[in-house]
Amino acid sequence: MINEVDPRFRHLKKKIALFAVVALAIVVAVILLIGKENDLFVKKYELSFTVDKGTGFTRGLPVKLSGFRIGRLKSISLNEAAKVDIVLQIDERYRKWIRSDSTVKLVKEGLVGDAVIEISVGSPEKSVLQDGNQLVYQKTKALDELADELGEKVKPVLSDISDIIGYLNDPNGDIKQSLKNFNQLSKNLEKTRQNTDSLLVQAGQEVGTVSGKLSGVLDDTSATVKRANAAMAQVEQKLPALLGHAERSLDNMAQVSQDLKRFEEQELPKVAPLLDKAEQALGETNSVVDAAKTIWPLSGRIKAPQERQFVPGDSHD
Amino acid sequence: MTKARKAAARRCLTTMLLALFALAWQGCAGTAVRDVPQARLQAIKHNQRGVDAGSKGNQDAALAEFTEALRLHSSIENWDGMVVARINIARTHRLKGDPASARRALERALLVLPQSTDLASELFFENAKVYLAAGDLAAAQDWALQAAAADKGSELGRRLNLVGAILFRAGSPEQAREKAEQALKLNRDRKVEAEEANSLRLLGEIHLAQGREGQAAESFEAALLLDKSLGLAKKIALDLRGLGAAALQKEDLPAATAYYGRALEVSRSIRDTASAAGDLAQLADLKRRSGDAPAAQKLDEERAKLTSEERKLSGPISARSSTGP
Repeated sequence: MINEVDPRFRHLKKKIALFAVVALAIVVAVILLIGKENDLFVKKYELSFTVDKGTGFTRGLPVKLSGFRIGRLKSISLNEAAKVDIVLQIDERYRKWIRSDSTVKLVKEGLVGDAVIEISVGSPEKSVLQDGNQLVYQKTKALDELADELGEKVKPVLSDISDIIGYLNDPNGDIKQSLKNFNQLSKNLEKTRQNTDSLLVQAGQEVGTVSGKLSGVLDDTSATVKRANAAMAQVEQKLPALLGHAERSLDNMAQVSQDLKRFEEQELPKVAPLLDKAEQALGETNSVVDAAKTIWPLSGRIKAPQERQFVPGDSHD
Repeated sequence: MTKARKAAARRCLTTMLLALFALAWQGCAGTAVRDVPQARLQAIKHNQRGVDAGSKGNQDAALAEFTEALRLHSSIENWDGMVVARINIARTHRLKGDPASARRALERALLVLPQSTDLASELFFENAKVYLAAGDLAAAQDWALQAAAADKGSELGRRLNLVGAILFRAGSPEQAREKAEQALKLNRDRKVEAEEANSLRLLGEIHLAQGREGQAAESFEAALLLDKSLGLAKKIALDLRGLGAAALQKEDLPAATAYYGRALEVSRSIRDTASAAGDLAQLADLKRRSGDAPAAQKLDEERAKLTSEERKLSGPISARSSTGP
């Protein structure tokens, strides 16, 4: 039989009530924490944009501005034009940064990181976007598109490398032929060396013969040198006389040069005044002639200068 | 002293006195030369030298002289002299084959043309020639008519000749004929033989264009006589070509050949290569029409050779030929 006054059941009601209160407090704290984490208690406004393909966009996708999370993707839906309308939910406190020239794009955080929506900071002189306004979507290339692009760029390089390898391996190509020729040249060089050896042996044998002939040539040379000596002796005899003549000619030239210099110094300065006088005399003569032209009987025979004299201008020239 | 000796001495003294009187009278009767400023005299001399250089075919030297004359006239503000110098500069440019420079010179002359001068007619005449050289017949006709209207009479025949020539080129042969006949009468009355020959040549061309070969030949013959008497070689060649064309129109091929042959010789003798080449082409055509193909071929070859030689020499044919007599 159970004792009704068992000490373990004493204050049981109070204990249950305390337990319930603590549990309820924990549940409320958890809800608050989750709500805060999900920005449930922050005032928000909505912005939207439209994309061609919804690939990469999922509900709840974080929205970032300068690396800070400022909201999330609220909804994604297909519109009448078969394009994708995306609505973002942004914290009210970040409104001041998002302006009419702000753009939105889908980016990856790192090469294999999570996708995030990034909004750029707008210019201060532009207007702040209001609830429900449209953002401009800036398309970014997906990894597969980048890979395709890279592939297109690499293709010709690979093709060139393939061509080069083919060229190098071609048995009739320049490289292979050059190597073949080089081998042939090496073989021929060996033959050449052998020929050179035999040539040197022959040369050694013929040097004796040549030296015999050389001696005859030297004899002839000796005779020629003797004749040259005789000629030189004659020249030596005649040279002093010739030099004497040349010296006298040079003296004469020096004399002439001195005379010319003296003439230049003494007579040349007289030339300019003489020319002046001649010009003056000519001018005076002209005046006399001009005056004479005006005196009878010449005045009647000499035509007075005509001012209106034209180049003949025929009607049919 | 006998009576006879006294009479002889008296006669001698009388004769000497009469001779002295005659000398004094001649001296006083001579025109007193007005004192002309030195700069003006120098300008006139430069102008004269320019005209002389131009007549010898040295157009560059002529231009230099006229430019100096213009400078001197400008220094003493002698407007008439400036206009004369500019007309001469323009004419020399035109003869050198540079109508643009000629026009510029004339435009400046028009700016300084004094109101009370009789130089306007010559200036308008040169303007007409420049426009004619540039192929602007309407403007040329306008200026030529102004030149004729402004003429005080001494050169009217020459002005009318130009009006007639422009009208003929513009396709008005009847009006051209009227002007040419007026010009012929004026030039004959005033004994301006070179222009009389020009009137006759123009009339010959008009007759020829209107199918009156006989009258055309007469006009060209008369022009030829005058040009020969004046020794104008280029004009003689033109007259002979006119006679050749008249003979050709009458289907008298031998006569035409003879005239064109004479024109060729004249052109060759004055080294007018372009005209000579034209004569050779005409002669080759005549030979072909006469059925003498080898002779025609030979003449064509000769013409080709002449043309290529001319090209090798400096300057275009037209520029060289324009400096001829």
